[in-house]
Amino acid sequence: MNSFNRQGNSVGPWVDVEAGTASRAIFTDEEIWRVEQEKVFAKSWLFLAHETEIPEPGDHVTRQLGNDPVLVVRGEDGRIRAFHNSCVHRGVKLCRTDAGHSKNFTCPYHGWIYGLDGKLQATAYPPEVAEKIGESKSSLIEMAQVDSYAGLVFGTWDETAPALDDYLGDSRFYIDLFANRTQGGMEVLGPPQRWVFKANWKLGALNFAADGPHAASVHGPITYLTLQVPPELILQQLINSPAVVIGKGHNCIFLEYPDEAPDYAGFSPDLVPLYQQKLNAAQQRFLARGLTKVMTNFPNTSWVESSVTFDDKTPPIPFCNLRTWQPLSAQSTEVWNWLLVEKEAAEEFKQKSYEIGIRTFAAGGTFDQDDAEAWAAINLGCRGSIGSQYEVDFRATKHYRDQPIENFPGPGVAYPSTFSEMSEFALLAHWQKVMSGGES
Amino acid sequence: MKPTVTQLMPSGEPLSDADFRAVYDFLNLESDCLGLGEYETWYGLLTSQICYKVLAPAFLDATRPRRYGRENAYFDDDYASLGIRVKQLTTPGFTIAENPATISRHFVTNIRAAKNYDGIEVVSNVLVVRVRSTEPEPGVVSARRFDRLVETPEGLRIESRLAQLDQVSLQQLNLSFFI
Ligand code: FES
Ligand SMILES: [Fe+2]
Repeated sequence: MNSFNRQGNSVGPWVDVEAGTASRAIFTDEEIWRVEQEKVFAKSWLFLAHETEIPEPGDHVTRQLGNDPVLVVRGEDGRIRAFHNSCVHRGVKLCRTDAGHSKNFTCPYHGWIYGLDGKLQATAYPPEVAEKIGESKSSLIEMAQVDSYAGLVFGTWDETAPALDDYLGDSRFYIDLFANRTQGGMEVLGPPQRWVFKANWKLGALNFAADGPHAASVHGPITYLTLQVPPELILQQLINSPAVVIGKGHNCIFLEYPDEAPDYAGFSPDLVPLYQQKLNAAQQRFLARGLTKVMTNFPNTSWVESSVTFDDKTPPIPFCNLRTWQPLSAQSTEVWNWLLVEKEAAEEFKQKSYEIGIRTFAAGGTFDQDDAEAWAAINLGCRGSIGSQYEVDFRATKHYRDQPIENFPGPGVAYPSTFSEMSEFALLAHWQKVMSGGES
Repeated sequence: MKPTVTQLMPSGEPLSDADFRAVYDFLNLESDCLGLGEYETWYGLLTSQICYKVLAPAFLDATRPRRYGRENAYFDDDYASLGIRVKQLTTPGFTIAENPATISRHFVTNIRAAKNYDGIEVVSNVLVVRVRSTEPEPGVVSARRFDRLVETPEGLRIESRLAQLDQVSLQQLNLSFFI
């Protein structure tokens, strides 16, 4: 049994940083999930869309943040706004398509019409009635702040939240490695794939913060099948590659190429000069030596990039994956999964990167299929009235916490091994702080 | 006039009863291979030119649909990549998602076929019922399939398959199977 007290308590503490443990209840308990909606999701910056999904005024996409429908629109003024996707009359879900283009939005129930700026334009009610409704003053519920970094559109419901740049902080150094590495930036290769697994959203977020050890045991065989890399070598690289606690709840790991591999081994030679133009020297080092990088931006936006081939005749091709973990309930999560590619890349390369992306990290991905299985099994192990009273173990952190890498060339505090579990556990520690109202 | 379903009908000449029977038997054999997890046998039913795609649908406005990016594919595979998927699924201990194996059943219906210069075009509906060790409630995936079969000395083989799935948000934790 653990020392975490659940009696009438939903903010915790559920994480014991000193002991390197956390309560299993944080993955299963509906009351904790409910409080988390208020303390974490209503206050954080949440990823909404990539700018290239809505390039023209009037373009829009719909999203789900938890169980809330959200409409992301590019206005006539070119500005991107995000609204709660519900009519203010009776709460009907306003836009029911996944993506579209329009001059305004008409509610399917009584036909109230909203502009791209969210303002109620017309109700068809007689003028005296319209005045009582406040027709001229009404508008959709708008997200308090919407902003972009490197083409990535985020929104927050909290008007007091710090600016996006401040929120992302030093993680921008690493985001640049995924999505801000050429002058033109990235574009989406298509709309997001969506799928649901029966486990808590934090399991995905933590796994991408990231869990090094599972990559050997769970993905060792498929890594061997695709890249012909023997499991022992992957294991060694995982043990010897850094885990980075970036700060503000953002965390990542880098799986590095062995020293003998050339720089930018997995990348398209056409794009390398563009990286060298755009990135600073320290960032270039990371990109050139990184085989796989995996990161979670607090709370639920994750990244993975690697180079893989499914054909012994073609060299590995990189894919860049961006996803969110939407908390549908304590034990159910919907993944939203995008693939990005450099705008400047050749058409043939884009198609190849797309194919590799969907064969690895996507609903039909050979890597994802085993991850989700592990998380579903965690849910089964932890949801019972006995099981949920115990702990999950991050005691590996006790061995590493006093051994940060000195003079690490990137921001944050790095630890010498992905087996340290330091970056993964740091996400939970931050989550606890936010749950207790300490930080957002 | 004979009623016709114009949308997405296979194009070409109608098949003889014997040819249609052969197509019917072939699809049943194939779906049993998939349902019973006999993936190596299934792989043998593909030509080395196989183009295998599974697409996600989208909800779009009827009057003004807007699509962006590529088609949204769950699978966009060729012979080599399907070979790796088959190895992953059939090598013991290579995928925890299929150990223990999912219990699944493939149902194929609404088969229409026509013969043309490229081979035999077949349209069918498929329903996959999956029962997993981590999810006692059966999961369901359905799709409409467009196949091109070719006649080889060994019998019919699949040269291309396009499956249009029916769920925008898959209520499945993975797609560790073929459709
Ligand atoms: S609910 Fe939208 S117009 Fe009435
Ligand atoms: Fe994984």
